[in-house]
Amino acid sequence: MAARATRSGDDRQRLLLLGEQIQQPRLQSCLDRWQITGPVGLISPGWEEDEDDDHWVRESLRNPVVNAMLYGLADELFARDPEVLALLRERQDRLRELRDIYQFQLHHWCAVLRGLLARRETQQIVAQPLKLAFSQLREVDRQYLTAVTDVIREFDRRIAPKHRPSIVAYQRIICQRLESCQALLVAGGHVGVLLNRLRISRVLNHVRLPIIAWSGGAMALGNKIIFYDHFHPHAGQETEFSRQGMKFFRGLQLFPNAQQRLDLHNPIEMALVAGRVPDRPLILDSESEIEWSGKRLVHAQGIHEIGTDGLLREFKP
Amino acid sequence: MMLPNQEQIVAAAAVGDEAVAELLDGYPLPLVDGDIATFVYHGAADEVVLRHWVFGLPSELHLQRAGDSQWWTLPLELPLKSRVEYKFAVRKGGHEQWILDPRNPRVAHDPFGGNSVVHMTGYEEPDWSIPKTAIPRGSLETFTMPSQALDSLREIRVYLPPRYRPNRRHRLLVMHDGDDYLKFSRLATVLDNLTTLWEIPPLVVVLLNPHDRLREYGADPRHAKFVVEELLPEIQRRYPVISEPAGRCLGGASFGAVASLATAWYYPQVFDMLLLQSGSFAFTDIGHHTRGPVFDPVVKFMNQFRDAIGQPAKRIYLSCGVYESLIYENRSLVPLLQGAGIQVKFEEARDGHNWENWRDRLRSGLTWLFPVPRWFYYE
Repeated sequence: MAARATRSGDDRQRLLLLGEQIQQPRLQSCLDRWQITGPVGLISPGWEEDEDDDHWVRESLRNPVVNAMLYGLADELFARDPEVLALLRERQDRLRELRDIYQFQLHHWCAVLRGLLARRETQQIVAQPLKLAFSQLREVDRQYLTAVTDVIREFDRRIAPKHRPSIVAYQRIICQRLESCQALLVAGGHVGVLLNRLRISRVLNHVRLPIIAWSGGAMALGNKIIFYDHFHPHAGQETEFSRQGMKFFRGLQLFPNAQQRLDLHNPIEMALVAGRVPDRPLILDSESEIEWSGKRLVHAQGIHEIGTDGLLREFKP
Repeated sequence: MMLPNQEQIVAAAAVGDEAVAELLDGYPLPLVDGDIATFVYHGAADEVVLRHWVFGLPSELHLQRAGDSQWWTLPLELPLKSRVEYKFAVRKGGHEQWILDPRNPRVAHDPFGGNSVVHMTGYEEPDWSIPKTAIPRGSLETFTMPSQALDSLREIRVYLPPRYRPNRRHRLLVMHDGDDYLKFSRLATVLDNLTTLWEIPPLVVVLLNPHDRLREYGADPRHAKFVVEELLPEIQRRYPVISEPAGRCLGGASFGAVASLATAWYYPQVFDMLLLQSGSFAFTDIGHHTRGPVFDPVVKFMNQFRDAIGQPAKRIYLSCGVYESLIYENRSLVPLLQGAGIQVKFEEARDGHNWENWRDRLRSGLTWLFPVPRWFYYE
């Protein structure tokens, strides 16, 4: 599938996706390249109660930083309007039930695929069963994502974020905080929490600015969210689709923190990842970057793509 | 790489000391080739004996003298992935001295001193147990509190994690033999690393140290009373910890595991989680035990426990070395706990009753008991 940006409304919007930044941040050079010298807004609710523990971002930038405080302000919203929190918790319970069943299905199909992938080098005979097993697993992923999307849509319908006074007030405060900003920075953290707050606040719809997003922040802006950890201390935690992302771009599936989380030198595990993902699976290291201008991918650097054979190759857009 | 073997050492010894030294130059000792470890000692002696703590092997394994030289060797089959602690007992003129292997820099420390260590092929010291400069460190605080139950003043150490936030409620882990876990199992380093890697949530860890270990930790109800009725309220008063059983874990090794299990049994539904490493869970089905008088209260407790397990906890992580004499007792506990409806994770290791075995199992135990948040976090 060709990579393309999909955000409606502003074809000129610039978007830069980076890998992990906390060790050696490159945010200043990115802002310099875009000639952004004024204040920048920081979206960091993925770090939950620690969202304002942003000293390393401030210390790495000459630009003033305004933390949008999506998480902290959402806590105040929940206190003022407990029904929103109650509905959110109800939604999370429902999602947990769906995930339990999904994981049960994953264990089965991933075990089948590992067995087949281990034999594929020597036996042509496994090609067809492999194709079938991948299509079954992709169908399991697809059905799960559909079910999750339905639950989230139902939640959105019930809380009506565009019309509910408490939520509209929350959105307004955030927009006011970011009024003077010239760009938005989207940090990682807990990607589920980040997505929840992005959706309720609708900040990326209201504040149309160039965006630099890294690691979990870059994941959240993509088409689909996938969680992965091959080095999980307890066997049985399979790579799983989680939900739809913010869909700022399609055609690419980003894997940040890959060195710590993916068994990059194990072709079977990597082929299992690549064979499931409808979009092009890309490793997003701390040196990587992908830049979009509107719907056009204008620049990619230091990116590797996971092939269906489980091997890594330089990404060619 | 072809390692020198016993035959070559014997042949070189016939030539002279320098020939053996040259043969062994650059090789770490003991020589480990697959599942054979060749122990080598050089020195004047009447006998040299390998002293080890591997239950199942003869307690005296004699090294062979190479001809008339002062070189002594012993090839020993040890399973892959084993980690074995040992000393040499050097006998000369009717005297015996236990010494570390002078040619092996690898030493494991414990409250009694230290032992030399051999790592068999496949064993690796876990990366997450090694201090790293880039990883932020937690902090340690100490306070004292009087205990009526134990009739003494107690010093309590508390580990606060790298992401400690006074305004957030943390899960609580209470560990017996806390200072030994810090010194010999690098507990603080393990916690720093696992917390920073998002493998466990930030934990407040209370480190207990006994005054009279075998008595207090030998299933003594007074110790249980101290932990539950005196210590827990004090910790909750001083630190932001979750006050529900679901947020609490009690753990320890050897007699510390007995103390943990006994406390949870005397006071059910206080700790939902237990971390029990190489528990000294001696029991009898019939007759009297042979482990010595310090085990009398332990056996009495374990026999009572095995008769009426109840619900001391909801999730129990249990580990034991297969080279320990306690492996039978630990294995036989698993079906009993599971039969009582308790979620159990049991792990065995090719190791003995020592602090590095307990260190090496900490990641698995802690990440299983405190489910992993890392799954969702991408920094």
